[in-house]
Amino acid sequence: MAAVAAVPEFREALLGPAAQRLEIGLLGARTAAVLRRLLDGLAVDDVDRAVLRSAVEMLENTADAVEFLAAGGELKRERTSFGFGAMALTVELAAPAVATADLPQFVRDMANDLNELINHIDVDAAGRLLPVFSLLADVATRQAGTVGEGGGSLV
Amino acid sequence: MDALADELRRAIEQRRQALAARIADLRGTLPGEGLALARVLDLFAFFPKALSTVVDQEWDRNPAAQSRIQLLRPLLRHVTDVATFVDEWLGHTGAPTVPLYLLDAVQRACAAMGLGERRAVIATGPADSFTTVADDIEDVLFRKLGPLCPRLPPELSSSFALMRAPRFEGTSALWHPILLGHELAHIAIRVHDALTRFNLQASFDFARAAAIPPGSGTSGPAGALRLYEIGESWAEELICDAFAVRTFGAGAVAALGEYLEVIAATDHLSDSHPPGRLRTRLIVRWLGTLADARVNAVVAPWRALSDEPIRYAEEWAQFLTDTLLARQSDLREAANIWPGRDYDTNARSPIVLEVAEALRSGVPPDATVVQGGTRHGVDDQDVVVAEWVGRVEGFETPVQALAKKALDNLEFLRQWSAAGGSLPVPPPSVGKAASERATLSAEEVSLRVFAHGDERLVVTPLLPDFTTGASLDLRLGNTFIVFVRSRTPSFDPLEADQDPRQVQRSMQLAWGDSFVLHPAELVLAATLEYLVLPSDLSAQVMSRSSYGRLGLLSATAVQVHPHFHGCLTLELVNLGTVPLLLTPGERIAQLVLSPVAPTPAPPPSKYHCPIGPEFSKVRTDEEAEILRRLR
Repeated sequence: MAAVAAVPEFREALLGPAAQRLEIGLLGARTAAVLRRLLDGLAVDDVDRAVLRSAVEMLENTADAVEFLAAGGELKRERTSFGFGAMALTVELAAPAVATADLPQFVRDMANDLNELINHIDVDAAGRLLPVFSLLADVATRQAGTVGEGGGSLV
Repeated sequence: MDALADELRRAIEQRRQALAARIADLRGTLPGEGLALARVLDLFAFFPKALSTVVDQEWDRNPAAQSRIQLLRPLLRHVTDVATFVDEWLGHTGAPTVPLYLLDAVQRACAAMGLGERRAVIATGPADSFTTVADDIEDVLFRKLGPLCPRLPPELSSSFALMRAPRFEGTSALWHPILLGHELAHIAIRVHDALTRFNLQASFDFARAAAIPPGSGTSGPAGALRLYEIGESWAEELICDAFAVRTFGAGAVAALGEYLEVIAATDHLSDSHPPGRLRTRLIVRWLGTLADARVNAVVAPWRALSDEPIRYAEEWAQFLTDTLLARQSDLREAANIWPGRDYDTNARSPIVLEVAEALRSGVPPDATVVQGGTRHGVDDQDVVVAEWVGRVEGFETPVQALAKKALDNLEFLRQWSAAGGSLPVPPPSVGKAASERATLSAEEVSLRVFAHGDERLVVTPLLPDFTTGASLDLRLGNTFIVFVRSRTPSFDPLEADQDPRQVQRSMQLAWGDSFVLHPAELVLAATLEYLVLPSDLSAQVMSRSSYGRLGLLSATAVQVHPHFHGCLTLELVNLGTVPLLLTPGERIAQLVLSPVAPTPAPPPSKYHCPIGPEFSKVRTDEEAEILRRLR
């Protein structure tokens, strides 16, 4: 969304920050669903691979963003569709206790594990990653707020 | 868990069906196919179908209840958000609150800014925001549906400029610098990747940012990422402001400065927008000094405000303010990276003041003005700045309506030329004295049209071959008032609490669309031409015989008095037996002019300077109250 005035964050739910969080919530939900099916012994198909590739891209972008912060502003990444706010949420949920210096590698390792799953079924890796993406699905969707201005309950 | 998943699926299906029905309803009420709104609704109509496919497939692929719930919850939210958007942005098919020339202006501006061929849709909404869908609307709708979303049929794919303005006055020319400047720049920033080129990180102190919690957030890496995101949002808004100043000059400063006060944004801190005080300071600096005192008066309030210091107790806000103030030249430069027509307020001030004088005298300015013996074309921006001059100086004429008519005329003339019509109209080569006869000849009409001062018969826009025989041709405008017969059992024009809007509604057609007038149907229309009769001429409106032969009667109230200002209302009736297609812009009636002894100007009538058909105001007649008491 783009506007000349400071509209309440939740008013333009389809366009504003809430929409970004909803998108991250959906990515988390789709990734978690693929991981659950892997744990149930099902094979991945092209649709699953597309989902996993999006999640890998989001994690790599997050690692790049943290690296470029830590490097004092030396930009090492292209602009992507994943907003900085979405990456901040990913850092908070996926690596809440990891030191800043270790963050990029920690997130990149997660991306690598996920990337491996595109070609090789690894139940252990799927089991490790599932709680992270399941949490991302729930928290990001919750943070998109409720429908209606102000994000409060309308009931 | 399974029951919850089942219920979420039912909830989505119910809303999906309701959304499909709502879109079909809106599509059915559109007055013409020429509107971009029709194309947008066609695009949105695909969404419920795509959603159905996605939900069914996700359901089948994911037997685990938790997966289904996690997938369906955000999809339910998404369909609700889309339905809200349809109602708030696309549900405006009723009264023509947005002038159609503005849609054309948006489309022209998009082409000039290198944004490609975009179809414009302008909704009206809350009083406190102008908003633009800066991202591709296809992306906004369908990306969340993920890889299972069916491919969009190519015929539905189109580029749009979707914007929303405040309902009450947001589409008046005063605010065009916001819509056509600031708002369109949001789209340009994405298309031309202006934020990457602005390169905020080059001056962003990350170490300091990581130590500042942005508002209610946490510090550290996540906090720094959030603060950076806010910094980019602020930078984007300032680049948009800079583009508004680039393309509208003083008009942009006047519009943005006042609007930021209207929405009480002067010292409001938000994640999405910089405080108004910072914005005002920068737009005033980017505008620079103005040589003409009258034009400078429209920005004077904001010059005073911009000198005040900017200090915030909130550390994050001060940090971003200082960071962006240090980059003010780069922000201005970032608004130059895409093409667009610059507006030099100082160079255009003499023309602006000529346009302002036309507005002061109750006439929509012509497409050209003579300045220092040279004829100059009038730009839309000149009209906008002139309207601000008229507002600041308190002109007594209806400046807003006159400016709107002037911009509508300019747009019609552009389209006329683009369609091969010739312009401008040359003045008559030989002048003759005024006639003593009862009716002016074609030559005498021409002389009056090109006369100066009190003798001038104003006809704007003026198109070639504007006379036939001993009359002035009148063309059909594009606004109509039609009857809605099923809502009121009867209508009493004298009844004070009966408004004609109970039985009539106004509608507007795009140039190129046609109006179908059915047998025995009456519709109010108006002439395309805005007329000002001098004090020594009166006139009668006559049906054009070519249309009379088809059964069309053009006017029932035919007399036009000296000093009349405005577009003539035409009461069109189809007395024939077959429906007639009426196309705005065609010559539909004639004005026969007669000399009269010069008469003083009457006080403004209740139909003062109309720029289109107006609803009847019989109930406001002074004697109406007496007649009501007699009954």
